[in-house]
Amino acid sequence: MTGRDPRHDDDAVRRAAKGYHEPPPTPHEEMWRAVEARLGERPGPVPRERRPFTPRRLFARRGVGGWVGLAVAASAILALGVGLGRVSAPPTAPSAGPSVASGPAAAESESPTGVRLVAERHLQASESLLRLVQADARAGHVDAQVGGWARGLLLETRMLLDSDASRDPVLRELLQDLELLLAQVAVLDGADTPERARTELDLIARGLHEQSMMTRIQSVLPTVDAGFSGT
Amino acid sequence: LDEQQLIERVRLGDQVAFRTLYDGNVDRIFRLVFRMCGDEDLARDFTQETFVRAYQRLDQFRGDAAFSTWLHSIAVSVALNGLRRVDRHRKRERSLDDAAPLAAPSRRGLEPDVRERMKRAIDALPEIYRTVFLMHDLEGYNHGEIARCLDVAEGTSKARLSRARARLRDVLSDLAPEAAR
Repeated sequence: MTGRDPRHDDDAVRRAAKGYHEPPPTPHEEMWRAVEARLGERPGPVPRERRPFTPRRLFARRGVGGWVGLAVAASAILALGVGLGRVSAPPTAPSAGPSVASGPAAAESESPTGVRLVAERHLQASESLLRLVQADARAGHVDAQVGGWARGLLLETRMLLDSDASRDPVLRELLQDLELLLAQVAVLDGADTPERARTELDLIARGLHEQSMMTRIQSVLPTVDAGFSGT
Repeated sequence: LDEQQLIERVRLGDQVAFRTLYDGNVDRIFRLVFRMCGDEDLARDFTQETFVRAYQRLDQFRGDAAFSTWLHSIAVSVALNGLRRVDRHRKRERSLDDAAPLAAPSRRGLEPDVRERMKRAIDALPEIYRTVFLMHDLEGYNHGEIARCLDVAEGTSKARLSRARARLRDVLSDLAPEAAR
């Protein structure tokens, strides 16, 4: 492309690039419904009413009480408990000198950053699972490993909901919604027929869309976020 | 109602006014984030997140720039941050998605290998160049809009576009007769 008018070359580049990620029609209404649902749930200009944390709604929605194996539960709880203990334990002081932190400063230093770290790792793992579920929904089949993976994550989610992580209202709400989704995924491998499993899978994928679960997970995970000052 | 009046009404809790702002901007936002991510699920998530964040942060909007510009700056940030986080997942999904076009008839115009090479070349561009290229050359934003969205000088936007095009020209140079048709 050398030796010619650069504008001609740029036109050629534009033409060749035109089909790059060609957008489909905008799903106006579907996205609006999801946005509208979230406007009522999250802080904003409008006073809002948070949904109270009611773990029982999970069981009211689906009978999930019987499939959690005791051994799996015990090992998952142990693993997460050890992890929580390790990362949230205060660092050992190198000397026995007097502490200079007291009052609000000391309280700040005792914030549950370790639990937060565990929660972030948990969300990353959950995101991976949900991506797999989305891919399965598109492919129309259920991966055999999904159910077991979801059950482990479901246990961790519930533990996090009972931990200091749930003191953050945004994280708590996210974990509550994640709990519901994971409970649905966890029972996929128990579906009577492949057709039923596909139907359930579609419902889960739709729930992922409507709740913007991926983006909400990403927004909770640490990012280099630009400031939006309206300039 | 003009844009400022709509914003004031949203601040007072009027979701119908917010719907009007949504209707006026959602197409461009969705198109842009789709160009950036190439995945409809992600594009929907990013678009929805953009509007939710805008709603939550409307008190921070000072009105120095147009609402759409402010909204686009949120969209670009949401998409870039989201893409960084899900990049490893997208690699896996891309391998699934790539299976479909194999059976599909080739598109009219450029040969598939030109398109494929261009796609790879755009994907390989550094993020700062790719974003400007997509906004300017594919979605028709001008350098002023891009500069405000990305919080850079207009000259920076022009320089990045120039570098992006130069890299793409280099990649396509051996396909020039085909690509130039």
